[in-house]
Amino acid sequence: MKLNRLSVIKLLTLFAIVFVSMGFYHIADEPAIEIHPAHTSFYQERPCNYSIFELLSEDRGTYDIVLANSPNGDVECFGKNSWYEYQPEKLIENGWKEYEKDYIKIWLSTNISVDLLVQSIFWLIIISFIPKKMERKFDKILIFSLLNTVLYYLHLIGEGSYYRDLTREYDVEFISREFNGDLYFENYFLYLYLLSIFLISFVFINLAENRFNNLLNYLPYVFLIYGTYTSLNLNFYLIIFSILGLYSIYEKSVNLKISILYFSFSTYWLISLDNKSLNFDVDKLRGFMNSSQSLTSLIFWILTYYLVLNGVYFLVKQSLQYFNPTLFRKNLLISSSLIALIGLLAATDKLSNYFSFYFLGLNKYGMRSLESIEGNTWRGIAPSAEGMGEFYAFVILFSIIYSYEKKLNLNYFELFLFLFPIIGLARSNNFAAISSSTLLIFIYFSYKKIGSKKIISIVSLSIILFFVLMYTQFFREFSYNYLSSNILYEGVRASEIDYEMDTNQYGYSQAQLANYQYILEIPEDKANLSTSLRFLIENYTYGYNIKYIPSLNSVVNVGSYFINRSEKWGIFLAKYNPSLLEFFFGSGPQQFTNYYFDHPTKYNFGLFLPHSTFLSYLIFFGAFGLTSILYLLFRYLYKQKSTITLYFVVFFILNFIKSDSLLYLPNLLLTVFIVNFSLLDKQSISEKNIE
Amino acid sequence: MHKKTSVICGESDLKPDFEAIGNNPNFVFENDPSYETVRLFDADGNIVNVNSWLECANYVNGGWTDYSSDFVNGEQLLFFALCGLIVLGIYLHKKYNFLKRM
Repeated sequence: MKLNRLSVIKLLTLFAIVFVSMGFYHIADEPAIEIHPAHTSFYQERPCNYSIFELLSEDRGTYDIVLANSPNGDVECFGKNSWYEYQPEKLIENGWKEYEKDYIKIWLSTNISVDLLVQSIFWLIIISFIPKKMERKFDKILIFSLLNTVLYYLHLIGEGSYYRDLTREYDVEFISREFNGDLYFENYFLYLYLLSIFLISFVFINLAENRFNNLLNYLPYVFLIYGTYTSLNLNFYLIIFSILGLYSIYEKSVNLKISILYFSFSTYWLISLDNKSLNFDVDKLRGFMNSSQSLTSLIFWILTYYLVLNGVYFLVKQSLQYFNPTLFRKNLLISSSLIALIGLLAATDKLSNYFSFYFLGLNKYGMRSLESIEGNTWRGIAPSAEGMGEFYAFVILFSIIYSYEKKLNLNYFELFLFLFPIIGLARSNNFAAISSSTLLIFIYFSYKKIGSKKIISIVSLSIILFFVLMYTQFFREFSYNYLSSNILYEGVRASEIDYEMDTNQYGYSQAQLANYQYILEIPEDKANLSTSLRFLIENYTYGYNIKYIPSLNSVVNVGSYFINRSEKWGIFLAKYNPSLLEFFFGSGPQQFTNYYFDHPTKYNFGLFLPHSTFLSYLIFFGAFGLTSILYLLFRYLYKQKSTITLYFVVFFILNFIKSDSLLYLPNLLLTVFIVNFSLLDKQSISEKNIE
Repeated sequence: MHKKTSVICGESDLKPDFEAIGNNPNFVFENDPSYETVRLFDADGNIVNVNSWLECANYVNGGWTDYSSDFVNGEQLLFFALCGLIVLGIYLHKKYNFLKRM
């Protein structure tokens, strides 16, 4: 990239945004004093007075300082201290006498209106660094920007319970009336929100006119700049891909059959919605999950999900001939390396930790130490170690398989960068991603060397069987009898059974003894079993059984143990309580509220995700929807005949079994891109033929 | 303003005539035992405790509030600042084709 005068101005603007927005210039009337537990009341009595720089200048290094944001701040308090607390050392409940170190936690105000503006301007300037490539004209930019604004107005109305909790300025009426009947035109909160969304859409499309054909090559950076607004339940990529989705409809670049199917499902979701005013704590899913259960919010998510998927498809289809695999691979490597490096920096430096959270639009703060959680995962700046592990593994898979297939050698710089995703993958400790990518690389090269599909299949299956047998025969801790129902066991444990159960001589209840027949005989209103758990227990207890051949139910139960999903899927079953229609059609995209609040269990607090994309999508789209997605996906891939795409898709499908990664927008964008990768691959194949 | 009143004082079906209240020097606000006392203050730091919705609405209509940040309308300032930026952007775009050159 040539650093011309304009690039220098843009870089300086980026720095100015970072430092000015965080109050670098600010000098408080009363100077800040040492960050110390004894000064708690000093800071608590003086909120909205000190910038992050003033506070950190008083850090003497005696105590650990944790910076967090408080999203309900006022405009004028943005970036300033909001609350201050000393957290004494705490016993870690792990059976050992280990203590969590004491620390001082300082909250800094963020604000809905300021975040929307500051973060968007920051990210739009970053987009402007993407090199221009062949202009592509977009018609009616003003009209489409307005349409997009209307869509995001629905979001503000629909998720009122989320925003009302954050600001008392929340109001969705353009004009209201005073008591004396006069009209009131001063809802600046709304005007600012709508104007910001309009400008984001408008400026993005203008920037995209010259860069549209190059956007795809820079897609890997969505994992670095996560794009989630700090105080809003919105993501920057939702806004920009939904406007591309609107263009895809305008240019008739949508699949009509899938659209009809999707909107037929939508009709059911809208009719069956139990409209409730509630606020689901979206936590690390912020920006890509409905926080409410209102009709308007459901309409918003139905439309947005559809538009975003179409937007990505539109981008892939329209910029096919400009896709540059070498550049894409380089960007994959740079992006994954930066993620790993910034993760390390954020773990060691407080300012970097806060700034990376804010300016990269992270869903969660980067990890504050280099230590792993309970010795197994280190997620760096990502909200999920699983999701990021998949990305690292994909970078490795792509760099090896695609480069070999297309004979695109890695240069020294790329070889050096290649180390970072390997380190990142090892640190994220995503066993599924490591094993699946290794297996696929092995199969790919075996096929390349041996060339016989039959031999490869037999050898691969033999190896898998060998490891499964080794594992089950020599490392297993439990009997088959227990393992064949261990999800059900966990499900019963998670259920809120309101019944005095018989106990054995050791005091174990029938639930603890996994006496499922007994549990089924408890009156339904007392047993409180979810419909899904009851169905599977009945199937396990009374279902047809062929001697010596395990049922599908038992196979899944046993399998879940070896991939460490028994407890998570057990909790899922305890909570998942659909009616028959809901089971078939789901509740709609990004709708978790019913799943979380509908059925009482021991886990109706916090964010207990299903820990499988398939289960999440079963909640969203139901059994029919999930089956349709898989059927359409495989039919499409079969038709495309792109072997390389198959490797990538199989990699993601294997990982989706045990990970929730599609609940994060960057992972979804990458997956949609990969599914459509066959188009790009075909393009390069046909180009080769022409040559 | 109606919205601010409902945020500070709570919802009510009453339609107060503040002008009439203001013009009547003998007007006395009756205490409402079911109404939870609200503490309001003005820009000078004067404090008043109100014991009925009507009294609260009357004070809020006169510029009193229960939240110091209400004296500064940050959203309004930001809105006009953004409008200024847009005007500057349009000027730059007209003169230098700003958006295309970026």
